Amino acid sequence: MNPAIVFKNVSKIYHGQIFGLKEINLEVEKGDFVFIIGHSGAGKSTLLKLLYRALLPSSGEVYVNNMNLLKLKSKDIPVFRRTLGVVFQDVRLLPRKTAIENISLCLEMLGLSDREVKKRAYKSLELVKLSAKSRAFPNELSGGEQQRLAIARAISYYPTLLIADEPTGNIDLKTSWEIMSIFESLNRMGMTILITTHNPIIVSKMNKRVIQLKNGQVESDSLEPTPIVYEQI
Amino acid sequence: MAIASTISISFTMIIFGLILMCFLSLFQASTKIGDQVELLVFLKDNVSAQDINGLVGTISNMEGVASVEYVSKHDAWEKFKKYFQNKINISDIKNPLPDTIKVRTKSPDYIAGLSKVISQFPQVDETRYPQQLLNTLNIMVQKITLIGSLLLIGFALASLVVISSTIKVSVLARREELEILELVGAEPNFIRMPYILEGSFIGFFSSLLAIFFFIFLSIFLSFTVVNINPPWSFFWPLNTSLWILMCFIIVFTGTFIGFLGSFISLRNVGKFSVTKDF
Repeated sequence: MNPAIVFKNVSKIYHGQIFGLKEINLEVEKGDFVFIIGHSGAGKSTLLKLLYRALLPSSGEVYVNNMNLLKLKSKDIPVFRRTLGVVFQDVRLLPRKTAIENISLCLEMLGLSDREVKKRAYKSLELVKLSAKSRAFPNELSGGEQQRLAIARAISYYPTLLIADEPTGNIDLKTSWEIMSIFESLNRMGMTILITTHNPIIVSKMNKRVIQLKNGQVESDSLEPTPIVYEQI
Repeated sequence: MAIASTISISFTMIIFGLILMCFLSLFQASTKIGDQVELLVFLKDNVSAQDINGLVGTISNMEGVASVEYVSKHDAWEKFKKYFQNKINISDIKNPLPDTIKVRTKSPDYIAGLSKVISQFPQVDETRYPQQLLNTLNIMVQKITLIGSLLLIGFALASLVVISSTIKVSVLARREELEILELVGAEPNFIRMPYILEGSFIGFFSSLLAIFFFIFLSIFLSFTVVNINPPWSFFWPLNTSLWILMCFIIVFTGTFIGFLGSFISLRNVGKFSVTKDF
């Protein structure tokens, strides 16, 4: 097998004494759909930040698509990040750009032609059913639409790995399901999906692999798609 | 923010321009004074007209000579008498003045060398020029150049600090945007470029505003200060080529400082999205 993500004995210590993560070992295969769950402070965001190289581990090794992130040079970080699709917890859209511009700007970095940029940007918006709002600014979109726009931006690169940090954090259940169905269809297209969430209903009904973190350690890993009971979250 | 930056940079460039203008005025004055200095070549008595013509021709062809004027002893005496006719009685005095050749040089630097060469000619009795004035001028030009350059460099550095701080505030205000761009994989230069272009344009535009100020200032001065006599006329007005030079220096400095200021204030781009270890 060829894993998309590997954590080998990864620890992250803040302020020299607070453990963000403690001796984490896990593998996510290509094409997997994985939920990371756990209470606030369990280490979910730390784990994701290590994946897109916003943090470095205090010890251990992190591999993404066979690339050792510890050996990644600063100048190579932008290129590496363009191989990932990341949906941030607080969506992080450019407030002074329209929906289509938010996506196009990222695609321009790939050095694509204007025509290709436009084509891909509209296609991404179509996938998240947001074509009608292409000229809207982020503050003119609802929470769910902003989240969908953030997903559209993340998938516009055609990444093989999509990471989403609490993508249903501030939105209602109906919109959450819409977003989950987008992730599911992307997964069916072959994309590896890694999502952190607090939402027990979604985790329970999606029936995917679930990794539970507690105090920076892996408390449980279902390894196989398993329905999960609410109490575990 | 762009308006605040433009105003701040414009004021900085106006002060920079005022220092530059003082420097150029002093430089112009020293050049003008230097240009007025003549080498006087006094000829021996009884030198034939043919020899004098030959000598004038030889001197005219010498390196560094701008113009040569022959004043006969007769003309000089007439001029002298006209000047002193009501002041002293000189009707009984025999003309004591020699035939003279006035030599103007392209630069005061040539005078000492020419004097030495010309004094060797057999027709020449002696040569004279204001040695002390030239030495003083020479030292003055050197000092003006040194002090002016230091002042301008110092002020350019101060302007750089002002401009980079102004741009830094604008960058900090958009830090979140910069961080987002980093997180989605933008190269640092891709992020910096619009800001650097903006900084350079603000520098360029502010310099143009500063130049407008100087144009209005010169128009105002040309109306208010009508009759300027030496020595002030040596300083003002600046000649056209110095005006053009001044405008060019202001625009170039403003644009370059805008560019450099943005570049310095953006040096941390690429590190916003990487959290430092605690």
